[in-house]
Amino acid sequence: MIERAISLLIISSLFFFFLLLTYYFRHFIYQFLSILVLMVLQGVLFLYLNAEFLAAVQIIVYVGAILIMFLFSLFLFPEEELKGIKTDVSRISYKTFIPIGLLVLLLVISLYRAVPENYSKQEFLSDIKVIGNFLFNEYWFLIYLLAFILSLPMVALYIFFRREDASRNN
Amino acid sequence: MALGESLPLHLEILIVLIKIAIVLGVFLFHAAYTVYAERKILGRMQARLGPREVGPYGLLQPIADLVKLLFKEDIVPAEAHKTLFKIAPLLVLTFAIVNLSVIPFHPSFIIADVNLGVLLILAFAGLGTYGIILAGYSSGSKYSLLGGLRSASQILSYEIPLSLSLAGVILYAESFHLRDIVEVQVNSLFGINVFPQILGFIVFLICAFAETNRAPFDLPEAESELVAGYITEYSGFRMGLFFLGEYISMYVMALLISICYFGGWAFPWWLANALPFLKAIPPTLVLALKVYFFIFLFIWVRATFPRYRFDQLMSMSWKILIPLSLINFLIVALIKWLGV
Amino acid sequence: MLQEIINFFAKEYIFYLISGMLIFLGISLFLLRKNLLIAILALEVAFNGVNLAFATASHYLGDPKGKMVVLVTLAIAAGSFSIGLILVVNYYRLKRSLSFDELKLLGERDEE
Repeated sequence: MIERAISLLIISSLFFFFLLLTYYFRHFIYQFLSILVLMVLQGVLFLYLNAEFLAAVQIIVYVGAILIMFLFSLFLFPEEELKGIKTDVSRISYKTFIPIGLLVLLLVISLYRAVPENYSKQEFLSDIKVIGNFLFNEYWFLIYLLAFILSLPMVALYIFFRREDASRNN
Repeated sequence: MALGESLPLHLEILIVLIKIAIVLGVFLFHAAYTVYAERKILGRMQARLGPREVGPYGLLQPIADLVKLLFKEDIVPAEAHKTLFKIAPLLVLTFAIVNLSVIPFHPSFIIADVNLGVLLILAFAGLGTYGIILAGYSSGSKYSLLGGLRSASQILSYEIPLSLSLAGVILYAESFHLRDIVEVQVNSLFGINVFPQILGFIVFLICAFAETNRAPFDLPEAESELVAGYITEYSGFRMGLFFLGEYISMYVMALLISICYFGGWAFPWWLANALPFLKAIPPTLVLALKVYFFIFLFIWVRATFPRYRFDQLMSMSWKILIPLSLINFLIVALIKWLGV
Repeated sequence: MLQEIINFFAKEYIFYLISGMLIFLGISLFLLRKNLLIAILALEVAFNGVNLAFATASHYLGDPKGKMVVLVTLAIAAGSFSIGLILVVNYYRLKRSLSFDELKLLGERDEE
């Protein structure tokens, strides 16, 4: 119990530190990097929730592929667009945050109330057979839907860069 | 613990620290002397002698190199992003070394006994890419940035066939743990995984060369086109850290190949039945011999093959290796379905 | 006192707190920095906060559905992220600017 508490204390303080750094930096690359650290820490937090497979997916797919793709496209922009990004508060009053804060508060409160006193811990979902059975028997429709959704970016790429190729051929 | 009883916490931590010290010492020594072996073998293959001045047969050459690297001036360019510039080589080295913690060197010697061994190695490979891409960006030079981008896109596109060919192995063993993979494949039909999965092995071997940025895929540090890629601006010990990371990740890949496809520390059952005295050889020595063979293969390929062009590299990954590894996966699924 | 702190960190509250922090970070970055690239990154951060809340609830309520939802959300986030990136790159090619304030045309050409 106490090891879990200590390690969660360390992780959450790291979380808070890098969250503050995100507001502090003015250069976009540095902001991105501190958000990246947050995402890696979130993958570590999944380990504490007995979701090893989710942690691996978070690190391999999310941090290792999607965010690297984002960093790539950041390098395509000129340096002047990336540095000196200022906080623009001119059109935002504090009233904007009231409904958001209320929403988040409501969410947290409802989740608090939903937790029973004696919760039952789940079995390990890291076993590949359990995951396979689970996905194949109960969530097969969802997997097909996902395959369909993931083909959308390809279609979008084709649509957006088609006109250019046609004009180049002419 | 194996017997179901737990030691006190401080003893457990002490044991883990000793294990880490042993593994780290052995691998740093190996990395240093792999440089020597590479220079010697490359020299022999190109009909020259290689290093022979320092010590007998040039055996003290790695130490002389280390001293030279330590005493060189450590230059940080004026245009560089200084913090990132200093962090990047550490990232590369760290995520190469951490891989060693989930690899079993002996049936009972493994630092972190986790269920997700293979997935962790893939995750650390993904994180190590950030070291290279940030080294390229933070140098503040166009050549470095181009080298870093090339390297990152190469590693990203070769990670997919790598993990797909590993998926065949995982499906056959029904476990992510490397120890289970060895145990299952020793008792399988052929005794080693190469024979039903020859396609997967070839794909994995090619991807291992590309993942470690070795020749013939050393595009990121192509000396003739890009000066030296992302390590152009690095000097002294920081450059040494990059090379150390590269050699250690070479060892990780060689270990993965020999564990996943060649039976690791065990001999296949038919060989062990035919020649029972082979069981007397210590398991770690068997694993080490297999690993040395693959390191020699890495060096041999470097001496033999010319470098690929960048478009050839990309089209090879996406058009050839990914379909081949998918076919391999289907073959493994068929074997499992037939229950062979 | 110490026991209470340990209880707080060993139970599920800290996970909900962190997920709330992530959602707040996402929304505030979206509102405060008027930059298109930061906007899509901020949406991703908010997505991740929601994911963490789902995984926590799934673990502590003993129902694996939440973790499956996280898998689905990750895949959808990947798709939407790449589509957003395509849109932003194309927009930058047209306008040479990444600001929100320039974003006011609906299909017709700029007359200036």
